[in-house]
Amino acid sequence: MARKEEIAGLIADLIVEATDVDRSAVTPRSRFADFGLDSVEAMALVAQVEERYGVSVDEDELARIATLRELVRAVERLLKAR
Amino acid sequence: MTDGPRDLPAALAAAKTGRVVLRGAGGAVATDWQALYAGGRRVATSLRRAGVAPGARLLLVLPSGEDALAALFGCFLAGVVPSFVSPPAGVGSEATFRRLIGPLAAQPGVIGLVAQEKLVGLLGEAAPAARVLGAAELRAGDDDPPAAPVDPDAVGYVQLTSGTTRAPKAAAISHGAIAANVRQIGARIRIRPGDAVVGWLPLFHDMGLFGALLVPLFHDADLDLARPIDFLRRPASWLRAISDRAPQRVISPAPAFAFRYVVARCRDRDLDGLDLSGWDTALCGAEPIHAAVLEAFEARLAPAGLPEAALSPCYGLAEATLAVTITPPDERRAGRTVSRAALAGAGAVEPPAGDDDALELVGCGTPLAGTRVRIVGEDGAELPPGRLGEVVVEGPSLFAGYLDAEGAPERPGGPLRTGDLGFVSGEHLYVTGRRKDVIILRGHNHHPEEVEWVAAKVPGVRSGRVAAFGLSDPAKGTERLCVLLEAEARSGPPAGLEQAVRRRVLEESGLAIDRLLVADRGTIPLTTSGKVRRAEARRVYLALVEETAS
Repeated sequence: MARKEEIAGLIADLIVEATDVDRSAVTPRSRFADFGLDSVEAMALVAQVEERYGVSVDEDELARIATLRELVRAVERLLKAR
Repeated sequence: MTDGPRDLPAALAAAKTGRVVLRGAGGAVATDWQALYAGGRRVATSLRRAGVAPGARLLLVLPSGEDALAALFGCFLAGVVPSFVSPPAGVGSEATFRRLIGPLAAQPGVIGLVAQEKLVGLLGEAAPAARVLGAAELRAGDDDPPAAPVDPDAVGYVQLTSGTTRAPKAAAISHGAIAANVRQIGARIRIRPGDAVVGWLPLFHDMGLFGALLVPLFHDADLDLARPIDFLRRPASWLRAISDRAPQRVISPAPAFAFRYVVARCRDRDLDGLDLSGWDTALCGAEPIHAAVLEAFEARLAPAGLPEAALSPCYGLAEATLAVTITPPDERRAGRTVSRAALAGAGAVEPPAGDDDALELVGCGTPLAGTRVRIVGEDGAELPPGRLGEVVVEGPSLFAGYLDAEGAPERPGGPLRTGDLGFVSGEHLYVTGRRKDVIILRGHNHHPEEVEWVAAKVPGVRSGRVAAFGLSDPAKGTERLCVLLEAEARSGPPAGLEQAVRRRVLEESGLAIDRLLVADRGTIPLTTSGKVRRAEARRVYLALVEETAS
């Protein structure tokens, strides 16, 4: 599976686990708030993704990430830069 | 009243031995109170030279760290009145910050913002009318001796109590009240030089500012201050910071959800080798506390040496500076299982009739020395222990009032009616209900109006027919923000309405709606004057949810 899909899949899994939403509701354009995740839960989710891939997204960049797609891209960039 | 520094400038002058560790994005800085005091003096000089007059308000848009502390102390030394505001922090936070900072900067009495260099561009776009003072520039001032003594009745700090909204309530707190509460807390937890406070709460939260920061300062104890993002990313780092100090006596303040978070996220390998035997006092407050959460925390960390009486639930509010009651040290926290029906009905505290009727409550401790707590009924008459009523507080830490449109504090004199519901049992205070209609999310108060007003602006939402309220969620360790609304169109809500409402509310108020229910027209109960009856709406919502489930 392409890296991008794998990362997106993990994020979707975590969202479904945290909120019980239908997986089909999780799309690249989705935002954390769409699923009722507050800033603490969103950060907890990001932390789990970071931990899984052994990366740490720059905090300023994190502040500008609005959609799941942007988060996937940020993680992917960090992995490519290795 | 306890001995100790009479105000913050005096505390700075007297804190000769306490060491401070400040953790941030770039790593940890080791410093001490005297160095931070010098930083404050330099900022005070800069503020004076910049023409910032005593009494003027500044918003400190700074993350925890040396810049924040220098700015805070500098304001106090110069007689300027600060308020911390969070810079963008956390995923997706910049968009919300952009929308909210302009209105915040336009609050009465605010003459400017203090910010780090990297925020200047964004501020220029989002709050173009605001004067921005650079944190680094302020710290480059001369180290002049501090100026005039502090008037204890003068406003020392303005606490923005409604989180990140456009028009938060600005609670003005006097220098005297700050010193009184910090010393009361210190006396209760028996903090001494040589002890350490270890925390990560942000400085814009009263528990972070007065609890984590000022308590060790006023008592010349050590401080280890991280940031919320550090805790959220690596919750075990909080435990490790405490463990590394063993056998040093450690006190920590944290909101209730933090304990649930540690249990949910820390793995066995994260807890390996931890020595928590020095963690004498884990203050737990800021939001309703669930017994099961505390028990799970204790079970998880007992093998690491967490003392039995460590968890110390407490209760307080910004309108009393910070703390009203704290579980006495060395005493295991109080708890009671009571009859849900008797409490909800007659407001009486009675043993439960059976398992279904049982409500497990956690005690919040006893009033601090010098503070008096009474429970009063609807008619204002005092109620005896075992009866539910409104928590009323008197004491030296009461605030001076909310700032009015002219920026002057206004509060009717006399005891503080908190709007929280509770009872006293065995001398401990049990808080059972929130301030009327206020929603508590992650230890922060929010007023439902802010959510309702924003949601109502979304095309397709029936104006005046939105109700926002909180529902307690023990699993999450906090409340869920729920919204019930009616769609404008008789044929039903347009596609995408729910998502549009969620996004708009997040953008404009920074809050994430947990559950949103679009109801039929006419569902939301109103008063005769057409205002939403929120408590009723909450009941309707619960009924609808049950209906859907069955």
